[in-house]
Amino acid sequence: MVSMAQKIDNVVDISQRRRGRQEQVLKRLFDEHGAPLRSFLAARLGARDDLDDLVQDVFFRLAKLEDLGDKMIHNKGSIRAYLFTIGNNLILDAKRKRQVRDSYAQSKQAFDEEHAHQVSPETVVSHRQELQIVKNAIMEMPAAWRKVFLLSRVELKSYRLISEQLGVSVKQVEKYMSKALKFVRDAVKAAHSQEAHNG
Amino acid sequence: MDKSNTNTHKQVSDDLAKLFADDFSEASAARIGKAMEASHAYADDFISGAESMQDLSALAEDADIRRLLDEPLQKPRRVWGKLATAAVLLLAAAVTFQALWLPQPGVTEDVQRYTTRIGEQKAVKLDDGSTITLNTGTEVLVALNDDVRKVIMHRGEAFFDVAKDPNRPFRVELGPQSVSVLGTKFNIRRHPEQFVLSLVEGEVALHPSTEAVADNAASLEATEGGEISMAHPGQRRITAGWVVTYSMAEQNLLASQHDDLSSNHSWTTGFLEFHEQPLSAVVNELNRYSGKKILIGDSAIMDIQVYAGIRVDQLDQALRGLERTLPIKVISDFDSILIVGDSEQ
Repeated sequence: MVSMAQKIDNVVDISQRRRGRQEQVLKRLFDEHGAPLRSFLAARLGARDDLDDLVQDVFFRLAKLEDLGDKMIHNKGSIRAYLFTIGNNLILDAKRKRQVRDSYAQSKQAFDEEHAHQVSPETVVSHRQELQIVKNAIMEMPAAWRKVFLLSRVELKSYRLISEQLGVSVKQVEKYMSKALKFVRDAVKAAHSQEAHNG
Repeated sequence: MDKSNTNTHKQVSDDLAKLFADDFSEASAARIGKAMEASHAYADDFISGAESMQDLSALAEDADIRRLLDEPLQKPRRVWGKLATAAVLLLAAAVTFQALWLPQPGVTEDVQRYTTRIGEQKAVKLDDGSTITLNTGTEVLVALNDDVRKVIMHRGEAFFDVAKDPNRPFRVELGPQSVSVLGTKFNIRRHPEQFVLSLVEGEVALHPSTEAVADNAASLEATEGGEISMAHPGQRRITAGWVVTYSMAEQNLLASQHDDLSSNHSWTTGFLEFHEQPLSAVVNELNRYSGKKILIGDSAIMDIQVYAGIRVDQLDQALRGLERTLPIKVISDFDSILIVGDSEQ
């Protein structure tokens, strides 16, 4: 039987926890991923005094993502991938804005350089088609890689959980993931170049 | 593909596997950042890989993928009882059949599987007169037996309007925890590690899936603050007006009492209403129904107050409507929808 004092403690504890939950989630994310993100951005941009602002901006955007809590519990890697892509997009945005300010000739050259390797018609395949390509690759993959890949990327489980579930080492999980990622990305690339060839 | 491209491709796969790993160091981050700065090919490869692989949970909707996930490799998945085992085995053998017959000595269980895709809603009338309304991205298995009406809820959200049948309890299994009722109306939203139960009418029992409902299970008692938190709640009776959040990881129950729970299942009408809510909250909710991820690309517009009634099957139109009434611009991309501020208004 739980005593009345204990119950009251629980209630107080829980209302405080509710209020602080969103802040806590962000704080935990920041503790976990803030430093890697900062060093990633520093390596991309060199030493700058606005790095901390940039990091904060990335987290601000992350905070608005759906199901943040769930994702964080299950798979830190997904959160990290979001952070890195958001960070990278912010860098590209900033570059573009600078280019607009610069003279036309300079900006055009820089813009062309930057975009020459980016979105070309053959890389634009609809999201649905893309998922279908990924799915087909998954179906053809060796069973052990596939299991690891699905648990990690579809069920968003951590490598540790996967290693426990499958009875292999965490290192082995990472190896299988690398192989599976290469397999899927090979298939996506092949489909894209096929597309370019056909059309 | 030339040699350096092949090497880049292999390196990116290794680095992505590192990125998704549990332990990821500042040093790895810096190394990846440097590599991106040094090579455009690597940068594109890495970011597009990270972007497209970060979250493939949409594939969980796919029957083939579901089958592969449920298929045991070395150790079988945790089993939730005879029904779940049978369903998994049968699913592996014959996914294409909607109705699965399970031949067992002396017992015949008719298991129906009902699913909704992202953005889809569906009301299912069961043979006992109960109705289950499935919200976006939901999967349930239903077996109506002589002694118990059983629903296994894998994911998503559903509103249950249960026909009264004192001889056949209606039981919803959510992994290790179950909700059992005789006749009532309630809403369950399932997350991977927790579920939220809103009881609109009647009474239900919350109990471990391995136990039958005890006659003497204690009720939740109202406290002054109207909120209760409990670790290891055991069996509990829950009456109308309570909203219970149960965390399976922590085996912790969080409950609060409400006068009006109608807004908790207003989604069953296919119509979402927003009264004075920030744009960011509206977008979060819409993302549950949208095949394309909706993103806000501009922190200045996140807190714009929104009044809107949105039909979940007409999200595109709704976003166009918001674009006309709010100082925002909606940009549709091939895999996402970006909302930014519109400086011209």
